[in-house]
Amino acid sequence: MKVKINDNSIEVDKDSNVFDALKAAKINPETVLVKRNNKLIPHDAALKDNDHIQTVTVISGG
Amino acid sequence: MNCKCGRDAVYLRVQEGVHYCPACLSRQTERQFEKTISKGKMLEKNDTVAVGVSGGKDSMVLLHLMKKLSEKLPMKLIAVTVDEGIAGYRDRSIGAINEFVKAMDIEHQTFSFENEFDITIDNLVKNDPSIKSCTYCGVFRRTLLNKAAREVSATKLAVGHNLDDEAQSILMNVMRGDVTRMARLAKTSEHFVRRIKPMKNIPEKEIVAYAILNNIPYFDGECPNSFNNARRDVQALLNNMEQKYPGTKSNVISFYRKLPTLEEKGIIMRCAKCGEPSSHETCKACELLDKVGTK
Repeated sequence: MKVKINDNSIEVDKDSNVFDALKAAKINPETVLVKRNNKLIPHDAALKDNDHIQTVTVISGG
Repeated sequence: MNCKCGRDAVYLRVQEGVHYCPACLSRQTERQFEKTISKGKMLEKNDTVAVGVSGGKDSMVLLHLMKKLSEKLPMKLIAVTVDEGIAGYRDRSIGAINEFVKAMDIEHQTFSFENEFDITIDNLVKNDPSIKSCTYCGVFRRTLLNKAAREVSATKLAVGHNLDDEAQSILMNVMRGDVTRMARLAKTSEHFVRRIKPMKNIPEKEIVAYAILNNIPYFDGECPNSFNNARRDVQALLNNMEQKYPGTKSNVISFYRKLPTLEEKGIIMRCAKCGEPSSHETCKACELLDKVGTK
């Protein structure tokens, strides 16, 4: 199925969750929180076809 | 995915496999903050606390939690900010701080490298692009924060170090073989205003979640000079290990805390040049200022 992370569309297996999508996008789950419809969701939340999720960077930039 | 209270979860603590809803995660964060303060006997009634605020998520959440705690434990809060002189970065974060402290009715004072040391980080980098600016910035910031805390007559200096910062510091000291600095992590000298880290047991990720869930604004810009920084490498290393082996960061800290008390060799004295606390005749800040030819 197709999932959009920020501005990038990726293909993930059916029944994938946030962890799987982050892994496919080569994003370390430790470094981000994830929002769907502007609300935080846990990393093991299931994703549906055409879901759009946004990452919030956790690590300090200082 | 539900929280144990039955509400929809917004966060998974991977290590324990526990889900949290917004209310339970916020409550858990506040409890951990208060527990750390109480266990470390960090605060007393009527303390004057200088809170180091950079405008980033850690220090803004710290200020919010300190303000909330001050409703239960009377204390005077003064936000202190160090302006290192990094255009497009610190000036923008100071804008975010000004709005936040105004909304929370907290006194705020800014102390700059320019006024104190006659330098800015921008000028240091401009004069020598290969300079390790993070070393200079870290030493000067520590010196100036202590001075700022003294100037506002603070009895404590609260800083926003989180669990990830602690794990990184421990690992960096191991990698440098720096036992003295490792010993200093846990100790405090009478020459310094007592530095407290009430968020040292809260993971960085949960601090960001707390900020989002409680509408705490923060500046998330990146320092333009932080690309060549050893801490960045250690941060990436620990995040990779944490992903593969959940609990790594907590274990690094737990290992350090289980070590027998490390004896710090040498004594803290006053710097012969500026009078600030130092473990050598001349403090690190004066040594670095000599190197770049100021004062």
